[in-house]
This record gives sequence, C-alpha cells and structure tokens, in this order.
Amino acid sequence: MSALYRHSDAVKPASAPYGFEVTLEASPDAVCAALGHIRAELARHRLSKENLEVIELVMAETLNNVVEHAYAGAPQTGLIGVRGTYSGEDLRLRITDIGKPMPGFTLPAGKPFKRHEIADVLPEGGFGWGLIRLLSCDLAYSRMGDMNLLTLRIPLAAG
Amino acid sequence: MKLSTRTEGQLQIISVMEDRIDAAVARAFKEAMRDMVEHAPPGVILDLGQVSFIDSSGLGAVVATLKLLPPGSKLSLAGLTPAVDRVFRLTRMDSVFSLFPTMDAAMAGPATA
Repeated sequence: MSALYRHSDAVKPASAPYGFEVTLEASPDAVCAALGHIRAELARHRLSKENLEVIELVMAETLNNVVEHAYAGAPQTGLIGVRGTYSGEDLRLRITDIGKPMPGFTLPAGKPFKRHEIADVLPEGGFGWGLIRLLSCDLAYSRMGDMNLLTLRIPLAAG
Repeated sequence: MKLSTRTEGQLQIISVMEDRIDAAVARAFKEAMRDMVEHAPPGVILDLGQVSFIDSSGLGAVVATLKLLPPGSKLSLAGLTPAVDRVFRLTRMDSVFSLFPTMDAAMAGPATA
C-alpha cells in the first residue's frame, strides 16, 4: 500500500501543534490506506478515540468526494493533496486536487437529515456533505486555475 | 467482503466479518447482501459488532440492503460500535432501523415480533 501515498512531517513535536502532509492517488483503496496512516499518526498525539473517529469520517467523506466527483471519468488516476494542522483544539484541513471543479463553483449544500419512516423512499446516497457540514465548520472552496482547494476546520471535543 | 449468515428460528443473522464498510467495499457489500437476503425470513439482524468504521457509501449500502429485503421483512442492526452508531444517528437513520447495542438485545427486539 505504501506506493499509494506519500507522507512528510511539516513539524515534528510529540504534541500539538502538529502538522502532516500526504499526497495520495485518487482511488478508494488509496483513501483507505491514507486514512489508516493519518489515524495512526494522530493517535500518537493523544487524540481521543472519539476525535480520531470524527476526523477519519470527515476525511473519508471529503477525499471520497474528490475520487467520485472531481476525478470521475478521468483518463488516469489523479492525485489528492492533504495538509492537516492539529492545534489541540481543532484540526484544520486543506485538500487539493486538479480534477473537475465543483458544480457551479460552489460547495454542495448537503441536504439536512430528516426522519424517515418508510424504507421505500429512503435515499441511498447524498449523505456525505450532510455529514461533513455537521462535523466541521469554516468550510471554504475555491477554484484556483486548474486546482480545487477545500479548507475546513474540525472542532475537537475536550479529553 | 466477508459475511456469514445463520438462521435461528424465524431469524436470519448476518455477521459482517470486516472492520470497515467504506467506499472501497460498499459495492461488494451490497452485492453480497443481495444474494443473502433474497429469501430472508421476516426478521433479519445485521451483526455489525466487528465493524469499527462506516462512511456515507457504507451507509448507503446498508440502506440498499433494507430495500432488497422481501416485503414485510424487518432489518435490525446489532452490536454497533461508537463510530458506526454515530453515523446512523447523525443521518437520522435510527428512525428506520432498529439499533441494538448487543446481539442479545436485537434477538429480543422488534425483529422477532
């Protein structure tokens, strides 16, 4: 799996602030491998299990969106850049790719989740942006030339 | 995608023998479930006790499973770890699935009714 992503430490203290930078192939398997790597790195910085789980979920959703949408139909596997900064109170993420822009050059709204009672009408997708918006804040998207830039902040629970 | 299934009385119990249901395996999960639940009894319990991570694609695959059940069958989810439980509750899917912390609770729950 090591061929699928590259990692370099931006800063290397044993606690916050801590930065990491990863470049990975835009494929589901590479996303899975990179998430495992980042989780292991962050675990060394004493983040709680709950915080690690929330971070992994938000990262999975944002990275899989790039794989499934920005690089959809791309002739060859693209690359995704991830830069993270952990302050102790939050984790800031900066995610870049050179795939297609977001539709309308804006972030998808992410439908609010509602109660469902009848299985027949349940959606089978479209949960990703709703989860990202529930678990993060300061979401921003910009298109810079051929590059998509997504930044967000994940507030972390104390302890 | 490793799944195992067994029948206890009127219940079919399907155990997911993987630690993740994510974008990399969601399609395989759905296809494997399609075969397993084709002739499901009225009560089906999905044992998620080994699953430590699920993302929106995995959630979509579990929702798809619900729709693959024969009419009248109910699907309960058992043994949810905290990360999996969080995704079902944040997306309000706890309103359509019965969630149980343990297999024992699920076997005594609505799926048996």
